[in-house]
Amino acid sequence: MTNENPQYPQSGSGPKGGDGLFENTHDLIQLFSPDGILLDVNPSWRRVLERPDDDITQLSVFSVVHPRDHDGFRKAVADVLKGQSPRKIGITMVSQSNREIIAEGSVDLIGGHQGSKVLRCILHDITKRRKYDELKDEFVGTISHELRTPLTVVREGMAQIRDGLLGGVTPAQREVLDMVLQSIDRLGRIINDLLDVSKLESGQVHLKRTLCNMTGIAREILANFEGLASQKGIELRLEAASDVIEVYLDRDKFIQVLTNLVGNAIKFTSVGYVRISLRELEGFAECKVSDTGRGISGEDLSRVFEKFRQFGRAVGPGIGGTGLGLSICKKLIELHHGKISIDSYPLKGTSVTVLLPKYTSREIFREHIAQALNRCAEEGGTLSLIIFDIVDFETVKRTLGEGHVREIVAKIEKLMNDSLRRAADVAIRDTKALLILLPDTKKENAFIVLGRLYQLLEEFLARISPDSGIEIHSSVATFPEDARTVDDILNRIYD
Amino acid sequence: MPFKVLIIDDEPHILIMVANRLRANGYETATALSGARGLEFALRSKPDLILLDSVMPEMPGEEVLYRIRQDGELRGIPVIMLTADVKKTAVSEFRLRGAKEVVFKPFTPEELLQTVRKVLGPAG
Repeated sequence: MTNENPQYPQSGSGPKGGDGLFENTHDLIQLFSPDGILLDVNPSWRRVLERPDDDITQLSVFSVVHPRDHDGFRKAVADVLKGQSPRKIGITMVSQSNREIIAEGSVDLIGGHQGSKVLRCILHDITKRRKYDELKDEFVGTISHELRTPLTVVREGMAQIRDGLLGGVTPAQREVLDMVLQSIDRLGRIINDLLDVSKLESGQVHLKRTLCNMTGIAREILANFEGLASQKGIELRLEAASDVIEVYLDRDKFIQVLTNLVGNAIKFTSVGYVRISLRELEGFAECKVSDTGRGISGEDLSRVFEKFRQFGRAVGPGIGGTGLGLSICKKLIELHHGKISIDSYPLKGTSVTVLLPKYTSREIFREHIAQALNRCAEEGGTLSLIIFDIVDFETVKRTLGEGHVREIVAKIEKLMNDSLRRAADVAIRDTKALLILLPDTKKENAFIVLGRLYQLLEEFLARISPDSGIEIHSSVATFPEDARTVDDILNRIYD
Repeated sequence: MPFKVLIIDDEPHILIMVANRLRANGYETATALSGARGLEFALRSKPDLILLDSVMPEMPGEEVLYRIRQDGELRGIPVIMLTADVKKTAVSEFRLRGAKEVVFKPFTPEELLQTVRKVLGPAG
């Protein structure tokens, strides 16, 4: 269907989108002149803004934009007119009955009749989505406070009775109270898991990937379970292809996943062992948790990653699960763009395999910068970066040995993270460079931070290995003005 | 002289529970149901430690903490925040604002006592 108003010549797919989209889309489309006079609007625009029969050519585009967004809208239009490519915008619009509509979309310039310019603005109504997100955030926040406060009272009250603070307790009473406390703790875990799921599902969880040694993490986790395993007479094994398997991952989230998998394995195993095996594959790191437990039958196996699935629950008391652990693990691994799968044979055992893609430091640095830029854009601040890198890395690596250099850089990363003062500031390392993100920091302040950190760094290097010959190069860049510089810096380090 | 601990929380049951536990372990306690009353009491009787709820109506814990840190007489008193927050960053955020430690709700008696002892040393 073509429904072109002859007043506007065709350009590209047509000023109104072509193919009847202009008439039928749910998006709001408005065409207007550089001085803000509306030229044409589509049916969705009329419906949502409640102006079914208005003569829109008598209206300014600003009469449907919320006053607080006038400046932003004017600026976007000016940018587009200056010949820039389409601009993304997020604005609040106001209907005839003063209802506010939250919208996001773009403004672009389309050809005009006889050299006159026509602007096109396509907007998507996100009011409902925004309201829903807000409700969900509020819900999560309310739940954590409103459920935990009474739970604290119940837990502490029971504990005080059990501990005899309020008078003598018989052994039988104590036994009951211990059971009550275990159940309260389980309820607490369920609330935590539900909050985790809720946050994961609403996309509120963002990864902070840093270079981590998987072998080291696996060793720590097994050490934490040593007590529980020896109580049950189960052996814990670690089979790692190397002492150092370094992968970019979110350390806390990976620990959460591995703790859950090892905990499950121990819970369902009564004889034999629980083993973590680690190895590197082409482009991936593999982490497998296997046990010699009772296993899961075929029909249940396909559903273990669903929410609230619990299998092989033993009859009688014990540490109850929440049925959410594996679905949380799956979501966390998927956030890492990894894969999780399970194999099991009843009465023989189960093994869960996690595959995590290996990223280059350059990709990770870019990801961190992009995330920080997004946050800064939302809050309207500037982002500064400091990058330290080792001068003539190849020579240093040859003289000191790769392992030694890695240790030094890891220590520097820790030193930097310990001395950065704000929670949002973060240092991320790779083998030869360190990226420090300073959100809401102007360039002049970034130089002040750099001065302080550089001094710490020199003192540290002088102390740890005075003759190492390590020389550190530093660079500072601030967004948006130095956006190009960042590429140049990364090119210099990695090419 | 036993250490004097002021507990500020808008939830009376929490006040009673925490006070019970601390008294049973040799601390002297005082309680306040709002930030404003807590500040008043703190100025009057200079406790050795303040346990402070993070979410309260009228004056939230964060503001109480800010006022304690701004007040010449109260500045030196350590504060332990009690919070139902689950964010991993909660500890560093509260520390940044001047809290000594953070205890998450629901807490176990061990968690509460260990943290109090860590800040004050053993009772008496």
